[in-house]
Amino acid sequence: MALPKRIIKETERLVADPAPGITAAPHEDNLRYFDVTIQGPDGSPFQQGIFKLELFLPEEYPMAPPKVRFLTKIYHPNIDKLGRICLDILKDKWSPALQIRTVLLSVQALLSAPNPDDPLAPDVAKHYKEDEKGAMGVSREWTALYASG
Amino acid sequence: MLFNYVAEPNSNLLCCICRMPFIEPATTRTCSHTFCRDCIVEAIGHARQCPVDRSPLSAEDLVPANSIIRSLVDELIVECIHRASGCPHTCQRQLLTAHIMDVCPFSSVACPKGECDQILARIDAKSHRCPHTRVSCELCGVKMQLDDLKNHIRECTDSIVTCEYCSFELSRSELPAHNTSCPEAIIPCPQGSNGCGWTGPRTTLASLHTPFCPYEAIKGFFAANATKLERITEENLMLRHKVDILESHLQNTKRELQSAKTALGPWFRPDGVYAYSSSRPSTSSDLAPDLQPASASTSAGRFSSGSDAAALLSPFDHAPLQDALAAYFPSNDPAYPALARRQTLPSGWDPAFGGGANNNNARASTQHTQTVAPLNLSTTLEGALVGVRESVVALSGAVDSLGRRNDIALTNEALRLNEEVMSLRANMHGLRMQVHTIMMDRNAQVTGRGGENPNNNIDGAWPMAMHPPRFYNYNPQAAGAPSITKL
Repeated sequence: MALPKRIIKETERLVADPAPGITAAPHEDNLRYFDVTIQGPDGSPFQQGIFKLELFLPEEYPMAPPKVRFLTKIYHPNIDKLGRICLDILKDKWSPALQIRTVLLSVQALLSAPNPDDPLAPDVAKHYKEDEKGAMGVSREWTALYASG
Repeated sequence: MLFNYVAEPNSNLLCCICRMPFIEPATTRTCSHTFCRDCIVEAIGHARQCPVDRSPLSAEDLVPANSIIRSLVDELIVECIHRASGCPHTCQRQLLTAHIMDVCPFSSVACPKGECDQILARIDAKSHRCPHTRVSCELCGVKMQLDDLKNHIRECTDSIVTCEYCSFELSRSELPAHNTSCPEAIIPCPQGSNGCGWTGPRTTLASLHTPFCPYEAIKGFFAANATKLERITEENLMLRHKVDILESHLQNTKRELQSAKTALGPWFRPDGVYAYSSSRPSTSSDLAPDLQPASASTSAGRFSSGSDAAALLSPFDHAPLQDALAAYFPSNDPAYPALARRQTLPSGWDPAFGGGANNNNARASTQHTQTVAPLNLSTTLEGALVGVRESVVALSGAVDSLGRRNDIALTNEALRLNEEVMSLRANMHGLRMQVHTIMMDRNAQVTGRGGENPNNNIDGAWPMAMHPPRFYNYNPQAAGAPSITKL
């Protein structure tokens, strides 16, 4: 099926005018599948980390949200071991007015503002609630360990 | 229709769903956001909320956008969709449809003559020579489609052709007639079929070749030969046909024989010793139970069962022997039963009677011919088997009834003996009573002299006979005894 014009335009803009700290490049053989990197935001325990993600635009896009998943291990209360992200706009709060760029910016913002009250990784969330400093230390360690390359 | 905009449109005119300038823009009454109509309708189908602010939204809340917005998007300059084909035209978006419909040389149109269903670009339509156009041949005037004309010219009967031999010009339809008479045409010798290899112009045949043709001289022989050959070929054909028929018959016969063999199974014997079948021992024994004494029937049954078993297990094993000896025996001789009766003797039975060569099986078989219906070979194998089975059933019935009769006879005999014993017992009793009376009398005489001897045997029996009337009452069986005694 032909790629909708909107996806072509979004891809062109992502490549030509990327958002700060975010890159996204489509696969050559499947233009709905993107390799994404997000820099850890300054001031967060993920600072200086470069996190790899994958993003897939389903057939219904933009009526259905894109599917996004972390490939790099990350110690974050809203991201589980498999890299799945607990983010409302990726689920029920999706709107066709949102784009790949806005989604990735939201993910980046999630790194700055972990939300342990709506956890996906309960043990990490518990750690963050009970000992935020210690938990942030682990996040920093993991970032150095897994996201420094 | 996907538009290609010449300039980057103002971002305020872009639909946030498809990221393109609005097409048929629609505005929400509730929150005043504007989208393409198709985009927002589809989005509402997925989630009934505004894609921008997520406020609840339904299709009824959509109204056509402000006319200013509509004009702005309708007047955006777009390229012709056939730009890739070579149309450089650009115009306002709202005028593009008219351009494509009426002007653009690259848009598709149907055959202008309306005679074929081909779709072609407008630019080609003017030069288009529809292959379905009807034209007429200039020579013969026949009407046909343009496509077919090229082929027709090559074979039109009215076109002028030149004879290849005499260079005479004539119409194509006359050519075959000319070829048979053209004096310059190259023809073969009429005897070519017989082997003459000469070819040459027609004019030289009669004058130069025929007088010297060796085949011409013996053409009578060739003709006679040809007739003969034809006859032989015909005959050969007929014979071949006959052989075919015979072969098919043979095949049929073979098939039938095979199926018969299959049906017969072990009954089939290829070497044709069927004489045996007529004098064959019957394997069924239909003994007439009411005519034979019990002792005779039992011995005969034992005997026949032995021979039956042998015959059933290997029906052909005895055949050659039986067959070879058949001449010596009267097979269905009425005198034979006498001999058969004697077979109940032990094996040391006088051999001279049967010529000394027969055996127990032979005797058994003759015994059967006396009482058993011969095997009906005119019926099918199944029929014969059914008959045999019926005979066996009848035999078992006969044996059964024989057993019953024996039982009854035995019971009768026993009853009679019982009665006899009873009467003897009664007699005995009467005698005893008489002896007793005599003894009593004697005792009375003896005791009159006081001779009481406790060791006396008669005295031991005394108390029993002390009250004879009571004794009779106690034993009602013996009630009839006195009368018997009196007899």
